[in-house]
Amino acid sequence: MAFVEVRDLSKTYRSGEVSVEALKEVSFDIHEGEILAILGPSGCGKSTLLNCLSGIDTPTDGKVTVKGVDLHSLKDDEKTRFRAMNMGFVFQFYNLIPVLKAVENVELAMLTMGSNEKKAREAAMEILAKVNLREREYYLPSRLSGGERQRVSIARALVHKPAIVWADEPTGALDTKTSNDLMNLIAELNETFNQTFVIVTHDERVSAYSNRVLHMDSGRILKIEENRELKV
Amino acid sequence: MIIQTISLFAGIAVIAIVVSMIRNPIIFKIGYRNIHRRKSDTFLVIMGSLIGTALIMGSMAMNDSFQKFLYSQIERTHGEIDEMVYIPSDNQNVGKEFIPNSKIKILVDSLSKNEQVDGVLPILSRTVSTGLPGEARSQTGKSFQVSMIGLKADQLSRWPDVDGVDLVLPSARDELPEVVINKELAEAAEVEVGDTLEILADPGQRLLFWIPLPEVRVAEIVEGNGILHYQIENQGPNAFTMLIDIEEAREVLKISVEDYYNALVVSNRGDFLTGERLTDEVVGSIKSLVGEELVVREVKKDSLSMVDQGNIGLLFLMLSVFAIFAGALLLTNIYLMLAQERRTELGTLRAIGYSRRRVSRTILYEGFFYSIFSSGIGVLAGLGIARFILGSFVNLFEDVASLIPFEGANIAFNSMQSSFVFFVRIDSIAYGFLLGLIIPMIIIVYTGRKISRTNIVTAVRNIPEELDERKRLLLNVIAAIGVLVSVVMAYSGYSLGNATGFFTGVMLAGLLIPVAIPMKDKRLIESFFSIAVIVFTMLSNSFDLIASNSGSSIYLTIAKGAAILFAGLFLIVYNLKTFEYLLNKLFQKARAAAPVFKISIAFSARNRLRTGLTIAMFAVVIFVITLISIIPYSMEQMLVKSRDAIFAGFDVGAFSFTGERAITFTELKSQLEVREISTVSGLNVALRRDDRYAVEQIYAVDDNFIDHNGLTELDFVEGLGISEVKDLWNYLRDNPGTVIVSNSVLPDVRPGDVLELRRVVDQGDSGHGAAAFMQRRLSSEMIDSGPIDLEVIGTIPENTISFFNGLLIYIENVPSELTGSSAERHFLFNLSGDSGEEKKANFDVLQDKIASSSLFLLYVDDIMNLTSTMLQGTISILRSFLYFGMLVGIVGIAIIMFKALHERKRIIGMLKAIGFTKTMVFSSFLLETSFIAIIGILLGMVTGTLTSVEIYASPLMEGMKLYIPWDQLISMTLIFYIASLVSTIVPSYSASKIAPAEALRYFE
Ligand SMILES: Nc1ncnc2c1ncn2[C@@H]1O[C@H](COP(=O)(O)OP(=O)(O)O)[C@@H](O)[C@H]1O
Ligand SMILES: [Mg+2]
Repeated sequence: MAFVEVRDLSKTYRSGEVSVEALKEVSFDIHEGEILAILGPSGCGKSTLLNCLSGIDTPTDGKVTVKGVDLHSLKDDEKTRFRAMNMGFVFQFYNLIPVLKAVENVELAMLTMGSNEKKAREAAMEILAKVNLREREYYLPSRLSGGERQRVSIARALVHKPAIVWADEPTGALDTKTSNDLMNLIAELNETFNQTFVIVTHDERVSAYSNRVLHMDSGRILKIEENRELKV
Repeated sequence: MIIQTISLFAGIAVIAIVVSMIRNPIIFKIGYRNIHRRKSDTFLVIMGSLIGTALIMGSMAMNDSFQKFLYSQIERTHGEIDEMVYIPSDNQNVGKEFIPNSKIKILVDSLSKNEQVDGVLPILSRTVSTGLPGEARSQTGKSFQVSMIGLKADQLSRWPDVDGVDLVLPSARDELPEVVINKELAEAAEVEVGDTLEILADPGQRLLFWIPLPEVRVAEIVEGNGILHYQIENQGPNAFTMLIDIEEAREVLKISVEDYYNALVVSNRGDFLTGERLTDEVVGSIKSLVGEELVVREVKKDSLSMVDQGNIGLLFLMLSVFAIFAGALLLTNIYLMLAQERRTELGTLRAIGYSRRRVSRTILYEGFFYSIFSSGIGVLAGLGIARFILGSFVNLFEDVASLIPFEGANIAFNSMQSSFVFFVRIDSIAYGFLLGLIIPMIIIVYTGRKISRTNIVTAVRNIPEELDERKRLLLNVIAAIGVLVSVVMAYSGYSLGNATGFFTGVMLAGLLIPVAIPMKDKRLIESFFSIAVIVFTMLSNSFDLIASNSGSSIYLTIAKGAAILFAGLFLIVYNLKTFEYLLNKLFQKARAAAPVFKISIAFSARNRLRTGLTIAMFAVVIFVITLISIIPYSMEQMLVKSRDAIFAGFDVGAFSFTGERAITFTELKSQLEVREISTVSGLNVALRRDDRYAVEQIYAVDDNFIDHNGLTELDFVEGLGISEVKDLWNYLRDNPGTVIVSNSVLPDVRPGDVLELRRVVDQGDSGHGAAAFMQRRLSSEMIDSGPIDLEVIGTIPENTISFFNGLLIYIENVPSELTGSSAERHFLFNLSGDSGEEKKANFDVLQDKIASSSLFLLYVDDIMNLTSTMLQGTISILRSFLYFGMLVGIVGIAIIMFKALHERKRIIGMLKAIGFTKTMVFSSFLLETSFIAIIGILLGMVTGTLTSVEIYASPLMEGMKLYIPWDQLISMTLIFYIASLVSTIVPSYSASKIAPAEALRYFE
């Protein structure tokens, strides 16, 4: 059994009379330890797919199995807890808590899992060092640059050593150089911790860092291709 | 005056805004559309700002109603009478001296022609006893003290008050003289037109029953104001008046002097109210006619100025000031958040070429809509509040009236109730509306300007703006200037002997110094200065200047309260991180709850401005409520504690003011209901104070008083071999030449002092008793006998509330030199019965038994009941008013949490994505509310209590004890806290329901 199995996943948004079929019977597998890029034009359903995979959104139809657990058969709170234990998130707009310092933002993920304060702080410091944010630990997000903020958000996604990390347009708000640095960092971390990364992007340069690229359009998978010349 | 100016300003501002809206249709559209963006927010913003208007309007309407009530009383008692002319006399009551006929003629002739006068009426006024034939001499409630006014019918008919009253004064006939009486007298005496009344003009003839009394016939019963009510001599509540032809009056009163009148009343042109404006000129004219020999009393002006000073609406306005202040804090918070919310779009507008002014207008217009709307509703709500509070007052009066053991209380209450009605002036409504508008508008203009200055780039990218170095420095400089000004203020206050100025200067300097210091982490400095300010205020009475003004200057008291409150607030706001640290330490072990704690406390603790404003809002409200609870409660407790002092520990005081009783001591003593009866005889003595004499009461007490009185908290001389108060009383009995003195009448007498007394010549004036007599200075002819020295062996503390305030001496020891002047004898006794109910029942039985005698009984528990009903009632009315103030806090926190919900939507989405459950999100919102509310409530309670302690520590309150109603305070704050939580349930619930995918998708 694959690490994540996606079968006949559909999602239709309904608002009044209008309904939008954002996903149309999508099926594929995600392998443990890989970096999978989901590539496609804006509005093709990438985010919808990612949200259904991670369980923060519910599909209209179909099934997602993560580590053998049928994700959408869980109750809301169980799903939430499952996420806390097994998943990490990176968002386009970082979504850091403005009143918490970098390290506090990071340790939040540990605390949510139920870890104790001391361990959480140690782990957060360690991962911040890994993402090259030594000496920025006690900065509030407002004093960090965009790239730094995204690295904090990656640290937050990784600190509790989740099996899988979801990233929706992680470089969307960053310039090219910072984007490259960030993707290098992700590839490096993937190497070190052997965590699975699923990265949504509409940028070919970003997908170049992945093991496999899933091409999407209009709610369907066009093709899945292996990436031979991995760019690290 | 201030109110008018502000309102005028507001009115102009409204017009200016409307004009600018018309000229900026696009901005107008944006502002207007923004209102509809979030219905719940709009609702709450309007709620929040209408409370301020409601409180202002409520106070003003209350002011109007009370004023109208008091004016109506003045109209009744004074009518058109503006001035009264009479000849003062040294030892006789006003108006007893006759004015020469020639003078009267000059006055009447000249004033009738005076343009500024529309009425002149010479009168002969006397207080007489009247009743049905055979009853005028009685003292059993069937005779009445009446103001008999002799006048000429033709002059009366020209007097403005009697316009429209069909008043025919009889010319002399062979029949009985005819009189016109007012309705009150007719009702009390139960007489009708045609009935005969008997007149006792000379109280000295009361007992000379063989002398026949003159009779008069009631020709007319009238209702009316002024001359039909005005009581020239004693101003009692009943105001019985009898008008009679002057010649007949002379006959009835047996007046033989050639002069006719003893007073002249004058009415200025205009009605009862507007005539007062001409007072100075009319008084000038009168003075120029008659010189200094006659006195002109400005009766109307005096009463009106009393009304304007003692208006209770003002008290509510003062209380409102706090609630309004809290409301202003809330509005500042709301509009800062609103500005924050609109920042991105306003930045975009700036980017595409809108000028600062136009951008700030979007906020201005939006706020203007809210304010107009909320001010309108606020006015209505305020009128409702005023009605409610007035209703409570009427209920309170009713309760009190039913407890007053006088026959007349209910009649007086009914007449009062009919004129005590809800009333509001149209211009008050206009002022209320405009004042309700001005506060939000000022705040809106401020936030609008602030937002228009935002950096376009940071605004568009929604990056928080830091307080930059220049602004920080500017703040330091402004604060430094403030410190300088405060120091000057303190210094000039000190050198001019103005305690309030001095104190305020020192406090402001103390609070501003840390702000002026250009430093980043000011936690320590700020804490130090805040604590210093609190300590200084608490100890401020050790400065003579401040101590001598404490308690007497209301402004000083307010300044002290404000100093404590603000210092406390600064202390808290600068130490929010300390709180956060401590709380996090405390809840570290709480595993699952730890992240919830962490973020909810971080959100409030690290948003200093917003949290500070919200805490201040809570604290201000609770501060006032605490003060209002503690001070009257302490008064009530004092009263309860003084139960044993009111009648010196006896259950009942029996008073007879006329010097003769229908029921004798032995008779009373033999009643089954009476136990341990004691006699107290009061007589007037002249007491030497430095080089002059003043009248005091000395009470001669008997053995039963010595043995059974309950006055136990006395100070007494050492060295008499006395260890217990009991022995002190015995010592008083055994040693002639000793007295015990109440410090409440003679505050500076100490045990061991020697007092010099003389006899006071009997005035033979039994009609008016000691009250009128005591107000006057003693002239040398009134003092008799050689000096008698008495040694003070003990003193009764100043704060003792007692009916017998004066000098206490054992009856057998009264020096013969002092006896002889008419003595009043009162009885004190205990009731038989073990329980309060039994005693009360016995009291009622006894009262029925002696109903026909002239003895007047008061049961101490009835008095306690009455006063505590009054106090309790007043407290609860004041408090119900402040509950409206509490609404500010409750609505405020709801608004703030709603805004937080919108602001943090994405963050909440993120939290839910990374593993926050619904419960965690929900509780993090409630926790945040709790953190703010609890700190605010505690701060308000602590600073309020400290302020009460400080007030009670002032020298003026010497001997007054502070009692803190913990149970009341705790239950009240709990209610407040729970209400705050409840009000944030909706936003907390909405937060917990946020769908993460949804929240994360858009960048709002
Ligand atoms: N909450 C929603 N309601 C209605 N339509 C939605 C909603 N979320 C997304 N869509 C629509 O679904 C389609 C896919 O959206 P999305 O997954 O965000 O695309 P992508 O991430 O590839 O840009 C789009 O057409 C979008 O408009
Ligand atoms: Mg997307």
